[in-house]
Amino acid sequence: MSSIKQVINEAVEKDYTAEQREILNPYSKKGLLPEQVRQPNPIRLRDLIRQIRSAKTAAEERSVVNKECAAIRLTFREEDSVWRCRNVAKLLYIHMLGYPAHFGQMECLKLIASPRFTDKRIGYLGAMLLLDERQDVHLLITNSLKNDLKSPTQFVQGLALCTLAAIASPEMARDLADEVERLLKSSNAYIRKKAAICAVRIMSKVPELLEMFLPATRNLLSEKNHGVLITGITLITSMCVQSPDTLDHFKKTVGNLVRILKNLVMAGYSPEHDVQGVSDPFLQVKVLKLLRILGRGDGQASETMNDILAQVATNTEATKNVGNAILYETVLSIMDIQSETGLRVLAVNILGRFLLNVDKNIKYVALHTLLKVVHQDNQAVQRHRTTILECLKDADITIRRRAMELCFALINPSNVRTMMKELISFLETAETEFKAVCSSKCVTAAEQFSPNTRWHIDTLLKVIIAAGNSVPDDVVACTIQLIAESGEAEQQYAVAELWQRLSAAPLDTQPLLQVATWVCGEFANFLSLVGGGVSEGEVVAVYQRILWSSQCSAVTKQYAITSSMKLASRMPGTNSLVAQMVSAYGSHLNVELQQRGVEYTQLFTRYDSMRGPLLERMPPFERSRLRVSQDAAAANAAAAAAAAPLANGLHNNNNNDAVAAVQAPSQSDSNALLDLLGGLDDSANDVPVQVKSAPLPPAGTGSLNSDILDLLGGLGGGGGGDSGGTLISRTVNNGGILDTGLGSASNNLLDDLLNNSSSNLNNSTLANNTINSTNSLPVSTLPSSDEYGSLTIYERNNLRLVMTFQRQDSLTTITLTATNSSTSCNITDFLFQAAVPKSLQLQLLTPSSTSLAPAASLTQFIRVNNPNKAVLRMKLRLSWFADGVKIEDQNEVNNFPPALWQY
Amino acid sequence: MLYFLVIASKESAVLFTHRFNPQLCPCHPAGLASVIEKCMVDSRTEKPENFVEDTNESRTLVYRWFGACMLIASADSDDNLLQVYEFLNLYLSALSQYFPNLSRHTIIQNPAKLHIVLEEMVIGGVIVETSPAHALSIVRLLDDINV
Repeated sequence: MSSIKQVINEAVEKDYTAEQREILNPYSKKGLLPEQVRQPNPIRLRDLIRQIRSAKTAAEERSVVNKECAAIRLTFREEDSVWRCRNVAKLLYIHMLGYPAHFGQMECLKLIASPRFTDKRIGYLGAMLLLDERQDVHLLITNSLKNDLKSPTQFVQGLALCTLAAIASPEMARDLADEVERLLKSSNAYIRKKAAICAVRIMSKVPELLEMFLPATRNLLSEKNHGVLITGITLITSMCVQSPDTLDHFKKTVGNLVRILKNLVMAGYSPEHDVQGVSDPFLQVKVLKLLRILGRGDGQASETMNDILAQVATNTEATKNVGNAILYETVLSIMDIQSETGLRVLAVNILGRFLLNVDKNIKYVALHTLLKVVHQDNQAVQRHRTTILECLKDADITIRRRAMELCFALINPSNVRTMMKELISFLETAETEFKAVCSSKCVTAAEQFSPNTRWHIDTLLKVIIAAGNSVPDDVVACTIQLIAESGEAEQQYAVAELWQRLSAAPLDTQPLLQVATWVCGEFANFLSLVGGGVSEGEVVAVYQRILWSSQCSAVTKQYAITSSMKLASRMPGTNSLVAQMVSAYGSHLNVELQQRGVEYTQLFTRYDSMRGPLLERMPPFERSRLRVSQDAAAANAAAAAAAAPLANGLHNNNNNDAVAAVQAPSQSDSNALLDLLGGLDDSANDVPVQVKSAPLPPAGTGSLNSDILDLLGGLGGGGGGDSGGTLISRTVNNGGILDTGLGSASNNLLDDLLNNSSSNLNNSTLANNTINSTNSLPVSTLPSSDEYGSLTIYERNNLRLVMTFQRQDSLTTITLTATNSSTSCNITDFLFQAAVPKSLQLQLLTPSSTSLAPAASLTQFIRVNNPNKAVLRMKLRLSWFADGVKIEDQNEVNNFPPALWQY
Repeated sequence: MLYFLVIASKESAVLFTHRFNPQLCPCHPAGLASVIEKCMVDSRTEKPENFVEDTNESRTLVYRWFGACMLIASADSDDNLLQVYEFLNLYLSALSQYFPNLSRHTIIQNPAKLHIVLEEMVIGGVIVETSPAHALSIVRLLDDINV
């Protein structure tokens, strides 16, 4: 036993010593002497580059870089000035590859302070690349810069100016502006050039220093040297952009600029600045840019430049890229200044030529430019419509995207038919990434310019077919809304069209199926008129195909199953088949579908008499559904509105035989109905209000009313309104407001099929609930808001939302104050939506206003009922128009004061 | 205004980078790699234009192939992109005048020289010299100073 232990120990010891030996002397194997380890010469840049480039993986490269950085740090620490230059050069290379190398900043400063020019040069290069505005080494470098700006050597001055132009911070700009101004008047062109670009940077950092450079700047325009001219013009341009006063000051220079440009255009070949036969295109572009700024909105200045612009536009050769660069700039200038009509035509024609160019770069630029000028001169751009439409078929995706945007900008009432035709055929073949945005834009354009409803419906249907599954939900909702609103003839037409699609459509395009099932269900009575009539068997077969298909999404099936119910009520012959389908769904795996199945089966069995009235045709929707739900806050009005459609349905039936078939449930149930609508379990004094608000004939009201509510609520034995699985309470839970924050339109639509105006109903239910609970305790007696403090829940996009709180038992009243924090932007159509967890109830009251002038505020009351003392959380959805631009945002608030729900 | 200039090899390796405005540029290897990748992907499409939208929406990447190297510059989208495209050529012609046999190898081995030549032509993202001859005459003068 002991011998084994000994053997193991010995073995371990042996290994250990071997390892130890290696650690102690790792270099013996590799043939390196220990002295070299302590003080190796830093490797050359060349070798470092080779090492890095021979790395096979990113990780390997990283390890080489890290090792070298460590070595460089070591030499830096040793203050080894011999290798400093080499090390900084290596560091620059490492930085160039994107690795952090900021620890070399101090070494750069040391190099800059060195008297050797080679050191200075690398030092300044390092400073330019490694330093940024945030570094506190700035103080040190400012000093070095100041010295070097005063240096007698122009190259040292040049280096310092160059660095200052790249890295100047506001403090540096203030400290060194005097020096730069002095150098701007230097006799040396090389220095003047660099000083001018320095001045640009200094002005951008400290705008009030602009004045200081003004006198020296004007002289720069009389230069011969192109370098000074180009930087001088850059300086003037940035001055003009920064200050309108200076802009006026430089209006006088238009003549000089025109002369410079004329010399360039007319001058013969000059080898120094010639680029492919064009004389200094870069300078020409700069001049044209400045002319554009000076001529904008100034008739006289524009007049002066008309001739030269025309000259440039006609004399510049368009076969080379440089020529086109100048032409492009010229076109922009012509469109921007107050130029003559002839000149504008010329400019737009140049763009037309660009569009036909085989060079993709030029095509791209042309579309980009047209997009910019289309709002200034729509008519001129219209002339190139056919060419632009041609670009929709281009092989390049970027060109197609630009062309598409431009096409939508070009649509007007007179060309909408042809444009839409082209765009729809584009939509058919477009990439998936285009389809969603293109179809949305098509819908907007169709809405804006449609010549008649028939065409509008046609277009929307075509869009949905062309875009397939990429159609956004709102397009589906829009189409349904449009058809629901239109006249009977159009509806009939839509049914015929959609039936045709429905019977032949492949089952994998959901949006089309959704629209088609909705329309065919809603207007099933027109089906018999479609091309010689559609038999009931055919219809059911189609629905069966959809409902049993595995390709259809759950949402489509929801549409289909509700639609089949409508179908059954419009075409009595299909009753039994539909009942069969529906009952099969009672055991569907999808909860939503299962619920429909169970509920609809109930409609067929126990409450068959109510089926007809319940499935009456929908009234046309309100334009903006979401807003409606908000406006309906006034409780009684909303209750009346919600009750009216139901009541109307009943009223019709009253005249028929249906009443007779209704089995009057016990009177006590009628309270359950009111309970559902009003949540007024036993507050009898509210009952009259409800009954009054519903325009029902007195006779039979009670029984009918209660029956429907009973049905909706599934309150067979007069059970409490809160028993689970009831239709209304389900919509309260699922329909928009509480849970999904006004979920997708498609979900709401389904609710609507039964509820007519579910959001109203939801809202009124809630409203009554909360009002009921507040009745006994007026709001005015609530504790002051200070107790809970205020909470800023949102601060973005120039909008600030602050909440203050008041609480009484389970009911919290939140005062929301929305403030427009911008100084110029008008906010309109402000819409605040909120959702709380299911165990809470939320009610949004009407806001004090929906629009906000700059710095104005509005208030909105929010009531939250929290009987279970659950943690209060809120999801927000905001939308508004800021100067006409729609902004949408979402947010979640989790930091409510705990005092709001505790104890 | 120009933001940075990158030279990449056909294999998407970074050969040279110059940031005109250090605060406004990608400063890590992954950022550079994504810029290069974007241009490479675009250049492989059929008959592409040489402009690619940058991740920052107000900027456009302009690229141009020269042999086995790709030059990429990032510019404001509202800049004259054709001119930026032309500038890439101007820079390369300056380099080829400076180095007698300009090759990939020269670019890799002389990053400092490339910086210095570029610095004579562009300062702080603004083109300041449009004549390669002028720019190089200064660079050569500076090279001779060895004090």
